[in-house]
Amino acid sequence: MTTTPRSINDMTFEESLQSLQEIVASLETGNLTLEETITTFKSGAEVARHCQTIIESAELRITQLDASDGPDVVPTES
Amino acid sequence: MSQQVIRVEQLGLRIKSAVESDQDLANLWVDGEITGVKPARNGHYYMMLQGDHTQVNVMMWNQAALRQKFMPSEGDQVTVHGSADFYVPFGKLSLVIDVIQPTGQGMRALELEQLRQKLEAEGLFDESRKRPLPLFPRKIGVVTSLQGAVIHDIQRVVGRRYPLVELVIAPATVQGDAAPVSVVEGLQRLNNRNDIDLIIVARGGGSAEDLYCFNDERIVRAIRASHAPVISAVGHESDHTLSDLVADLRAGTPSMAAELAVPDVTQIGNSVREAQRQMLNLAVDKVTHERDRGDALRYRLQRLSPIAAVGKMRAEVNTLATRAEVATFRHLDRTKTHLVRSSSMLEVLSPNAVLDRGYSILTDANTGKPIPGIADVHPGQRLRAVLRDGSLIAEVRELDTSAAVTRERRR
Repeated sequence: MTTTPRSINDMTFEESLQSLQEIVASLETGNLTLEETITTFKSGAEVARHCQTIIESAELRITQLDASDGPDVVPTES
Repeated sequence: MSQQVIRVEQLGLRIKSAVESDQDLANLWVDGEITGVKPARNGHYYMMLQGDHTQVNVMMWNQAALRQKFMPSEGDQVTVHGSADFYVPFGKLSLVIDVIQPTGQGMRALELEQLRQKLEAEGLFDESRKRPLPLFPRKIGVVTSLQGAVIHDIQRVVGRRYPLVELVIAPATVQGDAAPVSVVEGLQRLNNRNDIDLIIVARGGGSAEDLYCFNDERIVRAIRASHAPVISAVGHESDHTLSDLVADLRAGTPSMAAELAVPDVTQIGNSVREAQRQMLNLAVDKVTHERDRGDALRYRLQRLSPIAAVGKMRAEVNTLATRAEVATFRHLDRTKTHLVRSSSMLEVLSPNAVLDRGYSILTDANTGKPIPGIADVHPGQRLRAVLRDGSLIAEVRELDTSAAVTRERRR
C-alpha cells in the first residue's frame, strides 16, 4: 500500500487522483489483511473527499501581468 | 602554335567542373514557365523551364517532389530553387531543383519557404521534440492581446471545464511589426516565473496578412525554447504559420486551445465517485470474505475441540450410568425377591420352625448327632430332646416299628 507522507489535505489535485488510483489498485489485489483493508479504505475515503472538496470549491483565478515587469495580481471570479 | 587536342570525355569533365564549382550556378531561384512535365517511373520529375528566349532542362528528385505542396502542369508560371548540374554522359545541362512554387506567391513566400526549410533542417519542427501537455495543469499562461475575444473565450471554456487552474495573462501585440518582440517577451516573462505548466499563444481570427507575424523566426525560436509546453492558436485551420509548426500542439481557435489544455472536471468528479464506490465494494467484500472464513474456521474448531469430545463422552457416560443403574436395580430387585423367597423357605425348613410347631428334635445325648432313623437307636440309649424352650435327657425304653406310625409319617 502506498501512502504519501504528507497529510491528505496538503496533496495537490494530481497527487490526490494518483493516490486514489493506487488505493483502489491495492484493494483490488486482495493481498491486504483485514486491518490493512480497513485502514486503506479509510484513507481512500478521505482522499476522495479531498478531491471532491477541491472540485466543488474551485473558482477560476485570473492574473494579468502588467506592462512593466512586475506581475499585477488581479483575482477574478469566473 | 599547336593546341592540345582533347577527347570529348575530357571536355565533358571540364564543363562539369566549371558548372559545379561556380557559386553563381548554385542555390538559385529562377522564374519561368513549365513545359513538358514528365514523371519518371522512379518518381523523379523531368521538365523544361522556359524563358523568353531560353529554355533549360529541369529535374527534380523523387524525394524532393514528395515534399512539394504543388506540382506544376503544362504552362504554369513557377519559381524554382536549385543548382545547375551537367550530366556528362548525355552532355546535358540541367537545373536540379528542390522547390517549385507558383510564381504568384512573390518574394515573401519564397523567403518564408526558405526560412521554413532552414528551421526544419535544424529540427525545430521534429515530432520527437514536442513535449506532452501536463494532465492537471495548475497555472496556464496565455500570450495574447487584451483586445478582442481571446481572453474571454479561454476564460469561459476553462471556467466551465476546469476552474481549478489559475490563468496568467501576458498581454502582447499580436499583429504587425511590433508583434514578434512583444510575443517573445510575453513568452519569456511567463517562463521566468517557473510556476507555469502550460502556455497558450493565441490570437483571434484574421486574414493571412494579420497572422503573418507568427512566421517570424524569433517567435518560433522562443516557442521552442520555452520550458512550458506551448499550444498555438494563431493560424487558420488550413494555412499554418511557422509558430503552429513549432508548437507542441496546434489548435484552430483559442476556445479549442482551452479545451485541449485542461481536462473535464465533471468527468473527473464521476471518476472519483466511481472510485469511492469501488473502494466500498472491495472493502465490504473483504470483510465479508474474512467473516465467512472466520465462521468456517470456528465451525471446524468446534468439531475438533476436546470440549466437544468431553461433552460427547459425558453424554455416553450418562447413558451407560443410567443403564447400569437400571440393570443394578433390576438385579437387586430379583435378588431381593429370591432372597425373600429363600429366606421363607429357609424358615420353613429351619429346625426352629419345627420346634415352634411343638415338635422336639432328638439327638444322641453323648455325641449330639441327630437320629436319622429307628435303626440308629437302641433301648437304654440316652437321647437329648430339644424343645422350643429347653431340652431334656431321655432314656430309650422300647422301639416301635409298626406299619401305622410309618404310614402317617409318609403322608
